[in-house]
Formats: sequence, structure tokens, C-alpha cells
Amino acid sequence: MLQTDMVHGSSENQTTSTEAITEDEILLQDQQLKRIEDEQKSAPLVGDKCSLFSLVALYDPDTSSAFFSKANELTEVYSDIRFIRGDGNCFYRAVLVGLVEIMLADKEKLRKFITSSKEWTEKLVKLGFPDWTCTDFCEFFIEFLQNIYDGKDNADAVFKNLNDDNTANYLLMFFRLITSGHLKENAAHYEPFIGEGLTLAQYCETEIEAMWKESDHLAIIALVKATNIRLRIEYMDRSEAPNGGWHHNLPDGNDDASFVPDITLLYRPGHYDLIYKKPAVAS
Amino acid sequence: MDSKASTSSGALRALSMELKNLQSQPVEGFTIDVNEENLFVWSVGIYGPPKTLYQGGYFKATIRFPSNYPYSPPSMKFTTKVWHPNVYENGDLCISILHAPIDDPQSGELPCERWNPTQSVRTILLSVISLLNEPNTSSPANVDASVMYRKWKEDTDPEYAKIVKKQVEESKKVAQKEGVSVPETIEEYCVKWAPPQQDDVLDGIDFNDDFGYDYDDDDDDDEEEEDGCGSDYADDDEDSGQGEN
Repeated sequence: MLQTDMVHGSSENQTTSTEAITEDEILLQDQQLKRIEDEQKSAPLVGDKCSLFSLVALYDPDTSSAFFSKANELTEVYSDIRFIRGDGNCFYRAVLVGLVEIMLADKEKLRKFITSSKEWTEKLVKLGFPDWTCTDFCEFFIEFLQNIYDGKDNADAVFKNLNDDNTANYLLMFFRLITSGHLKENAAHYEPFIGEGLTLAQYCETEIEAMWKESDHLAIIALVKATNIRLRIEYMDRSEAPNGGWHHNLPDGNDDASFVPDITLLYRPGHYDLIYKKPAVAS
Repeated sequence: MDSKASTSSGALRALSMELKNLQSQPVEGFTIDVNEENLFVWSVGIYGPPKTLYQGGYFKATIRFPSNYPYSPPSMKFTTKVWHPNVYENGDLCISILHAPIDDPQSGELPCERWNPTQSVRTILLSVISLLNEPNTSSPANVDASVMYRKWKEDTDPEYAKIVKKQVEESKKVAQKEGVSVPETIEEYCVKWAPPQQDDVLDGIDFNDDFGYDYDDDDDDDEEEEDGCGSDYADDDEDSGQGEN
């Protein structure tokens, strides 16, 4: 797992080794973490939609020619990008925003998603998540959707909420819970992919349910299944893609010809942003 | 202290909800006292569970919540002297549920029942009650207490029980001074303190139960909790002998 997407929930609790770390080193580490965190915070949680050329502009054609040319190539197919803050939640946040955009435009899909979110509430409790707290996250999420459905919140209000830490954290936690829920529900299927002698429950606890923890491939598959979306991930770097290709369609097994993604993410090492296809033009 | 301070209004929301919930459905064996001015610090009183060494005891502790609660765990510190393998000499309680999940490649210990945002004060308190009577000696915070506990369990040395009982007696004086009447029998302890809506009132007294976050119904009830206190948290205040680990 790439670690550029800097994460730490509570740095003071996360010292993993006590050997040979001096107080100065800890202090230095804390300062570094603080700096990274401040840097993260200078970016909004969810950026405005902007031209994909702003991605191209990030790369120097001489010093990062590979990324520069790939970014250019992407502009042939995609028109816009929405930058997501790199805080370890970016995958979940990007999918959340992508889904919300779909639901803002399609009331029927919104209705269906409200129904499935309610089903998830029951399922999660059945899977053994503590009833009271878990239900709170679910109800908060459902209310957020219901307010869109009832016309109480328009797109502006929704994006304001998505950019508010408190609200967004609750929504993201729901996504983490259903991701974990999907894995647990299908434990027999996913258990073999979990390494290092961890049980699936332990994996979920440390990798999925913990906020500001980056997603790995298993988390991605599980959230895609849990939310029932079709997701395409475009890679900036061919070596990062699972099959050596430039993009990956999820759920697995979808070939390009028939696949119409609901949401497309751009993966740059350790980070996900949302990208949007150019509107189809009659040739 | 915590630079994710912007999340603190979310923490306040969670804390006031939890407080309300605990006031309407108390956890048996606990009193909770919160100054509404500062929801980030709670004072709790723990009644020693009947039929255990701690019977009749009244142990006070402080729970401190971080500004990004419930995404990060609170910490808990006993203000009453508690001689226990998982309590540091300064009173800090070391229990896996209060630790953020971390990968710890060095210790080889598996993370177990770590903190996650669906945990709550309720699940913490239930874990604490369970831990009081069933210490986790695999990674002790107080090594001396842990060794003593083992000897007591093996029936080779009664010292552990002696110290605990002495502390219980001392804590009774405090209870008396504060006008707190500590339940001494299981009936008192449960009936008086059980959540009103719970059907299985008497089941609540199964101290060996792995309370709280138990989603797979298999046999992990019997597993020892491994929280790596002795090794991971050596830089936590006083060195109460973890060096021997």
C-alpha cells in the first residue's frame, strides 16, 4: 500500500515501536505529521468541479513527463476533475460525492439508495455491530439522503455538508461500516485474501472501520458491492493498475465494450479524485 | 493537543447522545457524573462486582475524550488506587478497546477488540468490568501485579488478593464519606442498576462474557485479549516495570 496519502487519526496513540526512539525524534515526527496535516487541510474536503487541464498543469513536462503526457491523454476522454482531500478517506469520499451527484440528478436512484441504506442498518446490527452507535451513523446517513429527497437540501446545501468535517465524517463512517459489513457478510469469500494471520474481523477493524485509514483493493471491491455501483478507476501509471492496463472496471469481470461506469475515479499513487467524461458529441 | 479540533462539534454531539442514553439506561455497576460545561471529561464510579475480589469496592476513574471522538478513543484513568495487571501505577487503564487500531509488526500480537467509532462509553464500561475480574496478563501494564495475580491464581501466594481487598476496604471509606451505598449482592447490583428494558437482567452478570463488539459468534469469547500495553505504550508516563517484558 502506498503511503503518500498521509493518514493519522491520533498520532499520540500510534507509536508502534518504543525501541530507540528518542523524545526529539518523536517531536520531529509530530511536527512532520502536523505539517502534513496542515497541508492537507489547506485543500477543501471536496473541491469544485474544474477543468481537467488543471491536472495537466500540476506536472512539469520535463521532470514528470510520464504523468504530464498521461494527464494530457486523459483530457481527450475526460473534461473535468473534482479534487478530493488526501486524508486517508479519499476513496470513500470520492465515491460518496460521486454517488450523491448521481442521486441529486436522479430521484429514483436516490429512493432506491435510501431503501438499501435502511436495509444496511438492519444488516449491520445483525452482523454484530453495536446497535446503538451503529444505528446512529446509519440514521444520520439516511436523513442526509432523505433531506435531498424531500427537497429540504439543494445541491448547494449538500455540498456544504460534504465539505463540513462533522457531517462528512458521519457519512464516511456509514460507508466504512457497509464496506466492513459487506466483507463480513461474505467472509468465506474474502477471508483468503487477508494476509498476515489476521482474521477478517480484525482486518475490518484495523483497515476499514478506522477513520483516516486508506482503502486497499479489498475495501474498494467491498464498497463497490455494498453500494451496487459500477466504478472505473483510471490510473496515471500503468504499473499501478491491477492488470497492467490503464484502467480497472469494478465489479471485476466487466470488459470495456459493455461497461458504462456510474462513477470514474482517477488514481494517482496513494490518492483518488473524481473525474468526469466529456459529454458525447455527435460526429 | 489534537489538531483535528474542527471535528469537536461532532464529538459533542456524540457525547451528549451517549450521556443521555446512559442516563436513561444505566450500565449496571457504574455511576456517571458529568459536568455539562465540559463533556470531554467524565467522572465514573465503578462498583466492584459481587462474588469477585472487588465486591463492595468503589473505584473512581476519569474518562477523557479527544476532540475527534468517536473516531479516536478516550482514555481512562483510575483516581482510586487499583492494584491490577492492566492498570499502571499512575492509574492509567490499559485495555485494548481504548487503543486505536494500529498495525504492530514488531510485537507479533494481533490487534484485538480495538477502538472503532461504533464503540461507546457503554462498551468501554462493560469491558472494564470484565477486565477487573479477568485481567489480561499477556501484556501487563503493572508487571508486579501481573506476576502476583498469577501466583494467586495458582494458589501459591495470597498477596494479590490481600492487596486488592485492602484497597476495597479503603475505597469503602470513600464511598461512605460520599454517601454512596455500594451494592454487595448480585441481586442489588443487577436489579438496581440494570437497564430497565433489558430482558436478560441476570445474564448481564456473566463477567467472562466478551462484551460489546462481538460480531462473529465463534469461540473467541475465550481468547485472551491482547492489547500490547506492555510493549507499545512504554512511553506512556511512568515506567511501571514494562522493561521486564
